[in-house]
Amino acid sequence: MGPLAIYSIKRTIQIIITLIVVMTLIFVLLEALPAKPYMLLMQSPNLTSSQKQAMINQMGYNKTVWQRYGIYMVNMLTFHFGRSFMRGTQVSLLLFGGYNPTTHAYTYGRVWNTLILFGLATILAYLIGYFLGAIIAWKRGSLLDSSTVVGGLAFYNMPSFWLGLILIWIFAFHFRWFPLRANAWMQYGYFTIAYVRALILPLITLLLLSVAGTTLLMRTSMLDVLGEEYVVTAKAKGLSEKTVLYKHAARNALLPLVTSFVISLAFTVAGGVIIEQVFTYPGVGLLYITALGQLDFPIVYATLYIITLLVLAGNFIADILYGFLDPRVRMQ
Amino acid sequence: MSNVRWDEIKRSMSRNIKSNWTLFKQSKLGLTGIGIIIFFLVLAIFAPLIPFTYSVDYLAPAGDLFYIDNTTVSIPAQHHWASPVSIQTPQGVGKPAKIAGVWIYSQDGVGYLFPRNFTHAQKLRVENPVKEVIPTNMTGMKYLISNKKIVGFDNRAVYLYPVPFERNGKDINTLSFMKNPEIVEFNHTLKYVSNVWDSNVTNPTSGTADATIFMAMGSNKTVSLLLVVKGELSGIGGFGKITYGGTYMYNFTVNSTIVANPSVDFNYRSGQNWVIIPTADYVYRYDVNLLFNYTTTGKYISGISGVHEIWKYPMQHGNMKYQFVSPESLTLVYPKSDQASIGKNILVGLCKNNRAFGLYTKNGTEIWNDTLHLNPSDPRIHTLKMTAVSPSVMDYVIVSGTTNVGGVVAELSPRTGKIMQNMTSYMILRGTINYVSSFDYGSSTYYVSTVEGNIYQVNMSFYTQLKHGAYLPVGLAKSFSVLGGAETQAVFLGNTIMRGNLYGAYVGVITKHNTLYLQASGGTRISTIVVPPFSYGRMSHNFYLFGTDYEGHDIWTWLVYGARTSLLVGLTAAIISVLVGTFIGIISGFYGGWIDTVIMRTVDIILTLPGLVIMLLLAAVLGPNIWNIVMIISVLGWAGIARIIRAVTLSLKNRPFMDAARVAGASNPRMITVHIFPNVLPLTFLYMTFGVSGAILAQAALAFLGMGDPNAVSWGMMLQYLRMYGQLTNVYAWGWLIMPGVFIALISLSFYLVGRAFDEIVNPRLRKR
Repeated sequence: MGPLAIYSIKRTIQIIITLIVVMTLIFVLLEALPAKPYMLLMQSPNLTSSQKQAMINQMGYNKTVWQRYGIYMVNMLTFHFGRSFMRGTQVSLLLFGGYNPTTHAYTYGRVWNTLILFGLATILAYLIGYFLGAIIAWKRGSLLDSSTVVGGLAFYNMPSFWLGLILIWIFAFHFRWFPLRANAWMQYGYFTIAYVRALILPLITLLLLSVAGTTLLMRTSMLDVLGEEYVVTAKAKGLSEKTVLYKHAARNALLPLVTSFVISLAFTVAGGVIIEQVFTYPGVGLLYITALGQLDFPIVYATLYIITLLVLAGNFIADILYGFLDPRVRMQ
Repeated sequence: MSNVRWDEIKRSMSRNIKSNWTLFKQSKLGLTGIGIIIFFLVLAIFAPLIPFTYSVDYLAPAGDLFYIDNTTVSIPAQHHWASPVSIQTPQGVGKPAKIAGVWIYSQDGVGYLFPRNFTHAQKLRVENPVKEVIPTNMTGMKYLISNKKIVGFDNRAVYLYPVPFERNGKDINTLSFMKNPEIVEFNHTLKYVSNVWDSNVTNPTSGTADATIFMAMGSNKTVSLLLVVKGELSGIGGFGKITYGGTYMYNFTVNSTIVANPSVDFNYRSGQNWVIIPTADYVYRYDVNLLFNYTTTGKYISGISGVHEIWKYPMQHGNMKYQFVSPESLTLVYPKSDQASIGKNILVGLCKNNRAFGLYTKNGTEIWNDTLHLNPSDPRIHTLKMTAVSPSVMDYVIVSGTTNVGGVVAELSPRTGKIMQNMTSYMILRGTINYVSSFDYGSSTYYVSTVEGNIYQVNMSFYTQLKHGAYLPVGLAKSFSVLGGAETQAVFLGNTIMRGNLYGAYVGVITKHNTLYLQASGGTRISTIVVPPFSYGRMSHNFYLFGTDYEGHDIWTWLVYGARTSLLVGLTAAIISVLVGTFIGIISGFYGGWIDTVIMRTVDIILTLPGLVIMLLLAAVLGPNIWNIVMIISVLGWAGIARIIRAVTLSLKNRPFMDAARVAGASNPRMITVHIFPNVLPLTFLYMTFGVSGAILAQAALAFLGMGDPNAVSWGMMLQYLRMYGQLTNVYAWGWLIMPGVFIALISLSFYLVGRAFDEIVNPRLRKR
């Protein structure tokens, strides 16, 4: 067994432990909530006491905490998310989409919606950040550099929801180029004109926010590399500026960007809470925050589980990838 | 011993600070950051002394709040003004009706026609009224959209005033009032006047539209019908074109005294042209027989030949005698949304003692007959007296009345006779209700006015659409008080629409100060209530630097006090997380072994948690309190710092000076405090500055998502309110939209800039070569 395989096995065991700890933590937190999900539904004065009891039984609150914990763990690990308390639909249907037998319509999965938006934004942000960061680091001290850095810093520290609101205000409200709310336009299927129109504004917001970070990261990483002797050598050899920049410097500066990229990809599903809330974009984040407000525990559990799983997988891939890319890490 | 050590540390720190400051001064961005931080510190500390601020709880008086579009026009003093009448352009395909002018009249015999000034495209501005002389004691006037006529009636006659428009380009620019009306005189008093059928009825044989007016008047036992027809039939090959038309009257008597307004319907195609007559003993339906003239190309109406009774509904049920409460106590509903009930029009009658009944107009069959109750019952209400009924929302009728606590409007289902079983199906309003408008689809609301001069907009914009397509009202959207009190009912005038967008839904009223008051209420763009930035309150003359929010809070004051919350949360959360992180990092790195493993695995777990998602969960569990939020941010914030400090400690541990210290016999605590801690201190400070900006952003995000402390004013919360109240689309609230975000960005940026400048000192590699 090679060192990478051993490392992978060790990491996998670690990830499983982490997953179980995080899941337990989530369970404990939701159990600690002062309000119970049946309390909201039981406010209706029309319910008889036997109906109320049936509701409590259905939600599993007649069982002990330990029984509930066991059921929760088994169900999550076997991907049985159950039915939403408030909507009555299957949670997996909400998350992953599919044919909804009650409404006789195809449901678009929230996970895919989020992945399309945030995945696209992440990929584009890193592509732009890579080139922009490399160029401005190369032209260090120029007007382009300083203005990009200042602009980047400003965007980096901007509250994302506010930027979203401003963009909605300008482009959706004043110019009417885009819909004010994305969700109404998302139901016609992927990559229709309506869909793309609804997608553009959140995408631009995310790009503006994350390009700042990736550019600054690439710039810092490039500055590190530009100080190395081999760049001086390459310059001294008389190689063209483009070759030195992209073949010698930028490639070596790519390493932190790649790891950061993989982790960002893993966080895509998690990152959606605020942007999805601002644009009413029907993704996992919006589902999560709505469900949290309604104490819709099956949805909260499922979304948190999916998010944790993706984040852990992303971290794992980032580690392995790092090992591939940087031989120094592999040797350790 | 301890004195010596402290002196030593103090000396080295002052030396460090001096040398670092000289380095720091070179960074322009860092200095800018310091400047911005000082600005916000001043705001936070001296909040009550900052110019133009008020106390946090300050609410602008209602008179200051800019009801963004209202206008008052002075009108000559008259004795008996009646409610304004709105002149509207006819509705076309895809073109909703728009207000074109306002007609006001007095029973003293004068009227004023106010053409709308279209230069304020989206607002309703009326000016240059034209004075007209009309007969005195006009009891009512209505505008007929399809016929472009104002119909007026006094005791003896019906007057039809044509009000033609002249189109000039896109908009109607001139309105004129024809001084010579068509007068139809009756030889008896017109006491009860029905609804006026106003339509372009399609002539079934020719397909062309006939302008038709049909109405019924009743007094004592006599019913008078008035039918005005005007149309054209084209002849064969364009020859023999026939222009027909005329004004036809018909009188007949019923066996009982008429006690309420009749109701008419005119359906050319099905031949159901009927009149419903509410009398003291029966409700009658009479069908009207029309006379036709036949030509080679079709037929046209040439008069009324007679009437025949279809059914009568007794107003006596057992021992109980039913008495209508008011002239407006019989109304007709056309349930349209339900396929099964198409054509089954329902009559709802409201009688004294809250008795009400519902009939099918088709055959007079009683559907229900019941005493009205509010459901769910309100313990405050002891007396309930329903006084009027009006068709309002598609399938529902609004019954209005008085209670011991104020006026009440309630939705009644004409199919069941029950007030909807819903928490929000009725509403108690201050004052005595004198008018309930019909449902306006543009603003999804209806309007209620009271004798005291209050105008209530009852909101249905968040309506729930039920399975059969009905709407449920949710609540009161806005209320306005007319300055000086209302002389007349405040009536719904219509909408202003530009390029298909609804700008405002207008209510008009004549006030006791002899002014015509027009108030935009619904609509998307101009009707919301804020004080715009850089303006003085109209009543208090207070200056509002960035305007106010929806409730009247001064934006600038909240911005200033928000600095307190932001700095408090940012600094405490950063200090706590940095201190905890540093401490744990040093322990972990210094001791190693199983302590290190446990700590690092915990750090790993915390770093894999998706931050905001978990923060929301924690905030929901702990409750939105400012210290809880500080705790939540710190709990998730220390891990990253601990990991870095651990790495630094590990590298420090193997330095020669540590070995020297150990050989000299230093204890572990001494080695940590004297040798390691001073060396990681710059790094700690660096992460603290970054931590502050992170914590401020996190707090703002939590507040924006509604998990902030509702008792502490914060910038995130301001933006949350903006979104929650739908004020994003309020062009006058730009101070409210832009400033909180700018402040969050600035404060976060300032700490970040300081951090970066400091980073260059700590990591010399980053410095310019």
